[in-house]
Amino acid sequence: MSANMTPAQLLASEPIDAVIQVLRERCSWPLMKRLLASKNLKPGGGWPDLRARAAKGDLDAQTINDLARRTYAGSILAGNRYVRLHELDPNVVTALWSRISTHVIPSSIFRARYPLPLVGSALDGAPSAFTLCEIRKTGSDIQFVFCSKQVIEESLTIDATSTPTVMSTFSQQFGIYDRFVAYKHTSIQCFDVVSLRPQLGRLEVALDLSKRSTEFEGDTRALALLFHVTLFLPELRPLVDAQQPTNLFPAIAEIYKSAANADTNIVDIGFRTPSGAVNRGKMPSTSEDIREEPFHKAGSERVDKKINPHGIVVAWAFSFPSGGARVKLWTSAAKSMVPIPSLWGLEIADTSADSDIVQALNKVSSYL
Amino acid sequence: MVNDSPMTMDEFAARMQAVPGGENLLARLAARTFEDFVTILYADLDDIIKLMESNPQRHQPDDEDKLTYFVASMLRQRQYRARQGEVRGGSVDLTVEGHKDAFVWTSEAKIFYSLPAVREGFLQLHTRYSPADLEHHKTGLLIYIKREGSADLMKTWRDELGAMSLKDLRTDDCPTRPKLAFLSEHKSRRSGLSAVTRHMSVSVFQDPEDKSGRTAKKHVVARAAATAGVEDDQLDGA
Amino acid sequence: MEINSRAELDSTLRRAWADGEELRLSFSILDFIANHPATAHIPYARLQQLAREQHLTDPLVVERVVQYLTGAEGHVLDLRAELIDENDDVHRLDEEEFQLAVTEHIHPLTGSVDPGLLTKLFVYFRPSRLARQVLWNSDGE
Repeated sequence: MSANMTPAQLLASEPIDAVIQVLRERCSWPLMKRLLASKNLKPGGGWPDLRARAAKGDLDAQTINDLARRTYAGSILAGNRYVRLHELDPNVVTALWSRISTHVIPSSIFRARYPLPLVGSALDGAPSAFTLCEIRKTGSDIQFVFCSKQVIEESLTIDATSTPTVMSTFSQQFGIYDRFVAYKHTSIQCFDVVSLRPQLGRLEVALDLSKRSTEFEGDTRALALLFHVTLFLPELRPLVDAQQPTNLFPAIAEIYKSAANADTNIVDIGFRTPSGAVNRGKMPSTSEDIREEPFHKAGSERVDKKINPHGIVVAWAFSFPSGGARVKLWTSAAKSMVPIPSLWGLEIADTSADSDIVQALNKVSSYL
Repeated sequence: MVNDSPMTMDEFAARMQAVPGGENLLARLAARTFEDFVTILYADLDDIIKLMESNPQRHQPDDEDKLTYFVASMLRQRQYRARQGEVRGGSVDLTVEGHKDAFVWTSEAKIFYSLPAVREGFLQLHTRYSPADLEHHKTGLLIYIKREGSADLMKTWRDELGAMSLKDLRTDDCPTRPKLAFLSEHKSRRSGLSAVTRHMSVSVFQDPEDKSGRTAKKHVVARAAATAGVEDDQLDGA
Repeated sequence: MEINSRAELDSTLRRAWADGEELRLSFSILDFIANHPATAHIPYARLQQLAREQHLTDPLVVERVVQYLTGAEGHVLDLRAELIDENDDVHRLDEEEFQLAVTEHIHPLTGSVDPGLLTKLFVYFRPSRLARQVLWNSDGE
C-alpha cells in the first residue's frame, strides 16, 4: 500500500475510471445492473457508458462513484466463489483472538496495491503462493484475505495450410509440420478468503472464482489454503487433519423438496428418475423455478416426485440485508450412486457483499 | 423456400431485408424514445413516398383520402398502427402509432391545389389538435403534388410559411430529401413549446412527353386538376 | 379498433391481408398459439414449418407475416432474443437489453460493446400480451 494508507484509503483515492475498470473483472454486468437499479439508477449503455456517467460532476456521478467503490470493496470477500465449510469450535477462535489482533501482516508486492489488483509485469512477476494481505474483524467474525497470482492458459490450434506465410517462416527453422498449437498465458490475481465465524460455528474457505485459472481444482486448492492458514494459526490444524469438510450433498434433495416461495428459485437440476434415466432441467432465467415449469412438473408428479437430484442451482433473494446469491451444489450422477454420496464444496455466484455469502451459506446449512 | 437452420439476429435482419420495410424492423422494435421512433418513421415514410413516386400513374387519379389510405396501409405493413380521420380535438388525417403507448405521431395531408389549401392543412395541424406536450411536438404535413416541379412548389410553400408570422419560426432542409422536404420549427401558440413539422412532398404527377401523352384525355384532365386555383405569379419557375 | 376477441383479431388480419397466403399463415400461427397454452418460446423454424404445412408458395410469406404480427396493429408476436452459451446456459434479453443490443451492440452479460453480438443472439417469438388475452383467456401476464 502507498505509505501508511489503509486499504480503504487506497481504494478511495484511486481514480474512478480505474476502479470501474477493475470492478468489471470481479462483478458481472447483470449484477451491476441490479445494484444500479437498487439506487434508482438506469443501467444505461453498459460499462463504457457507466464510466462516462461516473466522470460527470452531477449527483448521479457521485452515487455511481460510491456504488462502484463499495461494490469493488465487497467483491474482495464476495463475487463468485468456490466454498468449503468446516465445523468450528468457537472456543478455538477465542483462544487465538488476541494473537490475531497483534499479528503483523508482512509486506508484499500484493499488499502495496491491496485491495486493488496488480497489473502488467508486476502481476506476471508476482508469487503464486498464498500471500496474506488483510485480516478483517467484523463483530466476532475474523476473515483472512490472501492474494496470489494464477494463470489462465489459452491455446489455439492452427492448421499449417491455413497460414502459409507463417508456416513458411516456421518451417525454415523447425521443419515442416501439419499443425501447430500456440499458447497464451494470462496472469490473474485471486483474492481467496478464509472466514472464522464462531457464532455460526463455521469456518469457510472461499476461493476466488472471478476468473478461473486453467489449473483450478477447488478441493485441492481449498485444502492447500487451509493448510497455509494453519502455519500461523496452528490451532486450526485439526481441521486440516480431519481432511473432510462438511458434506453438502444432503442439502440438494432437501432444497428441491422445500416449499416453493418467492425468494427461492431452482433454476437448474440434474436428477435420476425411478427408472434410472438421467435428466437435466435448466430454466432460462433466475426468476423462474423449474419445479413450476410445466414439463418438469408433469414428469415429477407422474413419478410421485420420487426423483433423486444429484445437482441443483438455486437462486436466492435476501431481504435483510437485501441481496442475493446463486448457489450451485453439483456432483455427477455416477458419484451420487454410492451408499453415502458426498459433495465437499459449492459454488456461489452473483454476490456483492459478505452478507450475501453468509446468508447463502446459512440457507444451505439449514438444509443439512 | 424455407430454411430450418437456427436463426441468429444477424441472419434474421438479413432475411428481413427482402421485404419492404424489413430493413428497419429491428430499429423500430428497439426504439427507446419518441425521438428514435420519429427518426425511423421518417425513414419509412421516405420509402413509401419513393414507392408512390415510382408509380405515379397509379396514384395520380386519387383524391386526398385515397392517397392517404395508401400511405396508411403501407405503414401498417411496416409495423405501425395507422389510422385515418381520428378525432383528436378535430379530425386528423393520419395518426401513426408505434409499439409503445407514447409513440404517437399525427399528420395532415393535402393535395397542392393552392397555397391556401396547404396553409389550411398546416394551421389545422397546429391550432386545432397539436399535442400540448413537448414529448409529441413533432408532426407532419404530407403534400401530394399532381403537377410538375415539386421542388419549386415546395419552395413557394416554404416562403409562404415564412410570411405567416409564426413565432420564432425557422426552417431547415430535410437531410434525406433536400428540396423535396423540409422541417419547420416554431413556438406553438397553444403550448408555448417548440412545434416541429416535417413537410413532405409526394409527387404523383405523370405527364408523358409524347404527343399521345399530351393529348390523352386523362392527362389533360389531370393537368387541369393539378393547376386549378394556383396563380402563375405564386409559383416560382413553375 | 381495440381488439378484444379472436373474432376481432381475425377481422383485423383479414383487413390487412385480404385472402392472400399471408392470411393463411397468420391464422395458422394463431391456431398454433391457441392450441399450445403456456408456449413462451417459438423459434423462427416453427413459423417456417407452419408455412410448409400450409403448402404456401410465396418465398417471403414468413418474413412479411413476421413483420406484421410483431407490429403495433396485429400485435400477436413479441420478437425476443436469447444468448445460449456452450454450457446451454440461456440468457433471455429483456426489453432494455434487446434495445441496447440492437442499437449499440452492448452485450447483455459483459456490458461491453461486442461488434459481433448479433451473430451470437438467437431470435425467437413469444405470444404477445394481446395474443395471451384473446387466445388463452389469460390476464395477459
